Amino acid sequence: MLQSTAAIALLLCVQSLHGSALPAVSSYEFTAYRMQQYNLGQHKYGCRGAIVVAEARSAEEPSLTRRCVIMKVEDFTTEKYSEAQRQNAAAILILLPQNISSIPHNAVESFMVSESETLLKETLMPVYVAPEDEQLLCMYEEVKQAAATRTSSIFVRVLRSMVTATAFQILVINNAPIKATTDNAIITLEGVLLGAVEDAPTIVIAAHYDSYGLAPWLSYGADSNAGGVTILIELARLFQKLYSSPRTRPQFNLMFSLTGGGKYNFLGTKRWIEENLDHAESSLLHDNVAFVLCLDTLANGDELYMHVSRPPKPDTPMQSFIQQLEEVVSSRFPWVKVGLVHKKINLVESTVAWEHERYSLRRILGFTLSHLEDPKSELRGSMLDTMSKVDFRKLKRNGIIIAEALARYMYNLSDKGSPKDVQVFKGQLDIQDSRISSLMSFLTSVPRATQLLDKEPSHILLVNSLEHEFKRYLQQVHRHTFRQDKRDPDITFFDQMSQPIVMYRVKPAAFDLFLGGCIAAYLGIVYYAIQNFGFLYTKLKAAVKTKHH
Amino acid sequence: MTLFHFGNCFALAYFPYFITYKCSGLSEYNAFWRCVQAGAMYLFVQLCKMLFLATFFPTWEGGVGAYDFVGEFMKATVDLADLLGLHLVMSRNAGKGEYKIMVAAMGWATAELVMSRCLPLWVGARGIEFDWKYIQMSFDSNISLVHYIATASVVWMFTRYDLPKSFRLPVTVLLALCVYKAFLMELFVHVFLLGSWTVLLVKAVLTGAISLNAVHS
Repeated sequence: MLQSTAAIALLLCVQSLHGSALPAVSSYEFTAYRMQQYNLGQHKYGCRGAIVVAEARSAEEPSLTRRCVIMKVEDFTTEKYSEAQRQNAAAILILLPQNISSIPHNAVESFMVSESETLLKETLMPVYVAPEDEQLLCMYEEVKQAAATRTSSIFVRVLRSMVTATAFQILVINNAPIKATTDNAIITLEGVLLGAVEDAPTIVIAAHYDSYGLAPWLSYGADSNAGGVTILIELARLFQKLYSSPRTRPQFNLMFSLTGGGKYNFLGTKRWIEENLDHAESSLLHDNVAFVLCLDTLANGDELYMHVSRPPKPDTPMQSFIQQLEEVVSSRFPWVKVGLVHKKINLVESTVAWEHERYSLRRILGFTLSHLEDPKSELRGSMLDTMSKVDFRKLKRNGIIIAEALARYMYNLSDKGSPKDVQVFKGQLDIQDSRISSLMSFLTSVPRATQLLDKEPSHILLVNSLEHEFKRYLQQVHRHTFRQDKRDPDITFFDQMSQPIVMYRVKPAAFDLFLGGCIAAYLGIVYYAIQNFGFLYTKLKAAVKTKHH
Repeated sequence: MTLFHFGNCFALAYFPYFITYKCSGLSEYNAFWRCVQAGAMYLFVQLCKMLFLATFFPTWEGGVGAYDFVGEFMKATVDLADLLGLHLVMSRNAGKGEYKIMVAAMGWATAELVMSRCLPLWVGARGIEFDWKYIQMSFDSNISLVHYIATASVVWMFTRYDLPKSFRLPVTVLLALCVYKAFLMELFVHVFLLGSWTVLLVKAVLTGAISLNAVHS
């Protein structure tokens, strides 16, 4: 009986020291996605390490050596990242909210900037991104609190480290070494709408369909470039209607091309051009190509920039088309700013800025249409580029601008004296909102990173669906699967992009000793109580008797 | 959390038993093998109970949150077999009343410790993660020891033919309380949604109350 009283006393004691109740579990397994890792040409990009065995620490702590730094989107800045690198942190774990639109705008901007800067360099430190959930947020809060209390006095710190501190150990279970894969297939789709006459000039409309971000598994690329793909498919649908009747068929061939590997120097485009020009017996790219229109990042913004590698000469098809574009914009959407950006191709540079440069290198005239002015803009390759970055009205408006300009050019409407604001595409022939939204949701449902596109079933399904769409509207649809030369690959990818991570709640070693001491004291009390059981019992009985009297 | 933690939990669980054994004078009576026999009886009784429960009680098909009061009550009634087992052990041992109680209770509780607590401690407490539940389990075994001593003494009192009439009722009540203690604990957990430390506290209080009354009588 005294034993139980002692037990009660000790329990109360421990509970008061315990502090708040722990809702979290003692061990938790979750999936995290590793940062990009690839070799492009001679350069190595991304993080080289995957194994993590480290204690979790908040980014605010001064000492990060050999620890895993836990950051939220707001914490991930270039300074903190370079600080972690300088101190040889063991790893970085970034927690990404489920709902991207809940992040304030300036936090998104700064995250994108740090993201693009991080990706430029190679690092040995593993960087993982995990979607936020209850347990991880709990851990983040606790780790942050621990950082806040590091500044208190030494006595409190020792006591805390012995008794109440809980640390988290982050473990990546996979011990296998990272393997390089060079057998990724890059798939390019092409389709044609044949013009009314033989030997008609060809207009090529191209867009790349893959996406890029800090972690391949979490890069959905809504603006860049699901918007471009959506506009391309809508254009295919609309022009197929015009081409279906011989009376309305224009005197141009329209060729559509959806290329993969766009974020890695437009590899898919390069191989496709080579395939058509060098290996195919006859191809529309051989002969009369009027110009190539590349669509890149068109789902937002009130500007339209036409990026060229050489200023268009007057009286060329490209120049007249650009004029048509400007006319359509000025008459129907005067608030949209149109600009021509001239950037010379620099052969020494390791990255290809826009898709039209690949065509220009093979002497095919082309230009890229985008709402971004800077090719190195961080919006072209960010994990936070999700549906929240897309404005459907602006996407539809850009699609209408391109469709109208193409129609005016192909049917030569301005020379025939049509007014500037005539609407070719309206009513039945208009771009449908439902199509745009369903195409965008479909494209952003799966992370379209190049590494994953030929391996995962849902990704393969996406490419098959795109091919199916092409077959609905276009003729001569071909699917080119480009594999690389094993001895001299253009790009090397690495595996272990998605890893299970286990998080353990551990107590410091001093705590074990403390607990041992407590248990020894408890056992001492028990021993004493049992030894003198009779004596204690009579004393208690006497005390109870006196109370009754 | 490590072997040290396992050692802590094991010490917390086992040492009171050891101390009780040594200090209650059982070692003088060479009662070791009798305790082992009591333990064997515990195993047998548990086996019988399990067979009985599996055969006659249907599985509970209700929702997760609901609690089948009546079903659990019936299941707890089967724990009467525990009392029967204790009584059998005590009746087979000749000797003083206290001696019989202690032998039966020690053997019974030790068997329960070995069977139901050693394996979880070995598997769980040695892992890298830390969980309070292992310390709680060890405390629980201490409380079980007291509980079984109290139960055994109440059973012994119940079976004595020279018990004064006035004591009959409280003794019966205490006996019922012993049997249904587990059931009552489950009830409290479900009704009041107690945390694990509070559960331990309540268990300790209950056991304390039972044993106090038992000793008093």
